[in-house]
Amino acid sequence: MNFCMGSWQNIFGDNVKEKLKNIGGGVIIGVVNGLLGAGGGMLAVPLLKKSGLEQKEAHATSIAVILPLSVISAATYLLNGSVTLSDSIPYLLPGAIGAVIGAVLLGKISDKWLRRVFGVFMIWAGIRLLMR
Amino acid sequence: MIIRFIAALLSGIAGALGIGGGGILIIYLAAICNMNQLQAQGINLLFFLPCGIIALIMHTFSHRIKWKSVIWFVLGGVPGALLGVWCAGFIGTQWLGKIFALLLLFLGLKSIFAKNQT
Repeated sequence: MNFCMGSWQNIFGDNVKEKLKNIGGGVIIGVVNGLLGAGGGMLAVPLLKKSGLEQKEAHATSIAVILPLSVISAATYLLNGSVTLSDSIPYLLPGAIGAVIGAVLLGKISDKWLRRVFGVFMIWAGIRLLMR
Repeated sequence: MIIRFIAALLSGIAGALGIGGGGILIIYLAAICNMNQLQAQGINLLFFLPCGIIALIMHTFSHRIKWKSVIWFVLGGVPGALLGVWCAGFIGTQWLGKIFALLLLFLGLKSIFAKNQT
């Protein structure tokens, strides 16, 4: 902690620089969430860790950050007609079941190979989408 | 129909595990079903809401959520999300698909070759 940071804290009685950093991180997460409809968590977890949270805390906290942002983004997508509620209905129930399974599995399985498999899948999809 | 169920189920599992559940559903909708990118993204956002609520409830009991951090990140995130949606409309579904594809390639290579992941 250098002198400058210390005086910031004295003036405002709290760590303003840290809060501004968090707000800035939030802006980036929000832009990606709105722009790509995904990927907010991918940014939120490392940013939260950078702000001093442990891995599991960062993971749990990232969901609390992404959820309200997804509400805003989803509402805007609905309002501008990019998507309708009925488009999403077939996916909601299996997704919710999957979320429960995933939460139970969290920390119990090694996801090293899962990540590799998913990596190959992402490359295949990336190429396919570029060709489209 | 069954494939759709499995795709959504896998997305939910992967999302809860933190390995890119959002990606799986968008990939399924855009790359396999040939849906336009914006619609796929919109479905994914709506899809995340119930999953996110379930995950949030489960994590609330584990006391791992640091609400102080949440406040500041969300404060910045809300205008960010609106800006992001505006940009998405501005860029258009065709180019958005290409941006998403490049991101997938990058992340795919990263997850295959990275040694230590958290």
